Amino acid sequence: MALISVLLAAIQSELPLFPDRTSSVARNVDHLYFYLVGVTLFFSILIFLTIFYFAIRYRRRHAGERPLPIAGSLPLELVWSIIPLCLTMIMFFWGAALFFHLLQPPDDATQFTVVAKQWMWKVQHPEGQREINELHVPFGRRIKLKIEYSHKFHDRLVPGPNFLFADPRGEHAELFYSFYFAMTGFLALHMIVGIGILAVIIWLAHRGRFTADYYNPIENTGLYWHFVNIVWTFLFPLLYLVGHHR
Amino acid sequence: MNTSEHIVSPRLYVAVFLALMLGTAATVWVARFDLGQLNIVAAMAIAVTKATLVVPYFMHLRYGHKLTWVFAAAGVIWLVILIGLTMADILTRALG
Repeated sequence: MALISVLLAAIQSELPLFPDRTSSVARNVDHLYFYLVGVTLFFSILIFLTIFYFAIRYRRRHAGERPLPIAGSLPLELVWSIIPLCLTMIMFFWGAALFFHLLQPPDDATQFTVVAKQWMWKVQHPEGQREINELHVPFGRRIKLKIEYSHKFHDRLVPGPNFLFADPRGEHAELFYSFYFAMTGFLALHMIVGIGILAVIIWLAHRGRFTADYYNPIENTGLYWHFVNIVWTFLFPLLYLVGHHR
Repeated sequence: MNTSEHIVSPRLYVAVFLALMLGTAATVWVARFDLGQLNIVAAMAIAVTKATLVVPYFMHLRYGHKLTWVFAAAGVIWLVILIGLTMADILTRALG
């Protein structure tokens, strides 16, 4: 344990994965997070190890080998449905309980009204004092902040410039190029994968591996390749033609 | 999973390919005119037409099992839900 905490501290200094806990609910949120990461890690490792183990254990040992038919098992199906159901329900109820706990300020909290203006924060104390851009809170007492915005509703700058449809600093440029490079990049990846698969299929066909009874790999490769084709059918006019007539 | 017993003739493939090339040329041609909002409508109409050529012939849906049709339709319906709900947000923003 000591070694792990030293290691975590070393990672933490380079890569702040877990910020310092600065609120009373942070510990609970961290615990929920550890549960999520733990469940995910456990099943990812289990599934990947099982895939590799079965791939080796049940490999085809000679060319004429045909696999035995697989008989279903109701108890097995029930087990691997009910256990994940319970685990995910724990995620849901734990997360929901924490969320509602976070939303609910304590009953005895004193309310401070904060108004966000252009360009300052105005704080109104319950006793009537006002402050600008500073907040002094009573020591050892629970408080809650009621935050209001008085400006920029009409510009939809609230809840923030990132929720604007247009880019706040230019003429849609950043939004467009984010889409552009994500879309064309992913299409290029799909095409590189497709060219690889097609090359393998050509090689296999050249070696006479396909017959009138066995051609599904060709069929499926065709389906994949034309899926990429359809994506480009829509992307090409959207990225290069629409709005470019000027 | 024999999706297709049907063998499509090269002649049909070439015909579909030429139709798709024609569609691409039409998309580029129509994009040269300023039609306002209709530009995107025209571009998408041509793209949908091209897709309805690719899916039945290149992807053999036309010769497939009826269950395959159901799955293809489910994909389209899902796409309509995704785009429809996104547009329901974007197009109503101006109403504020």
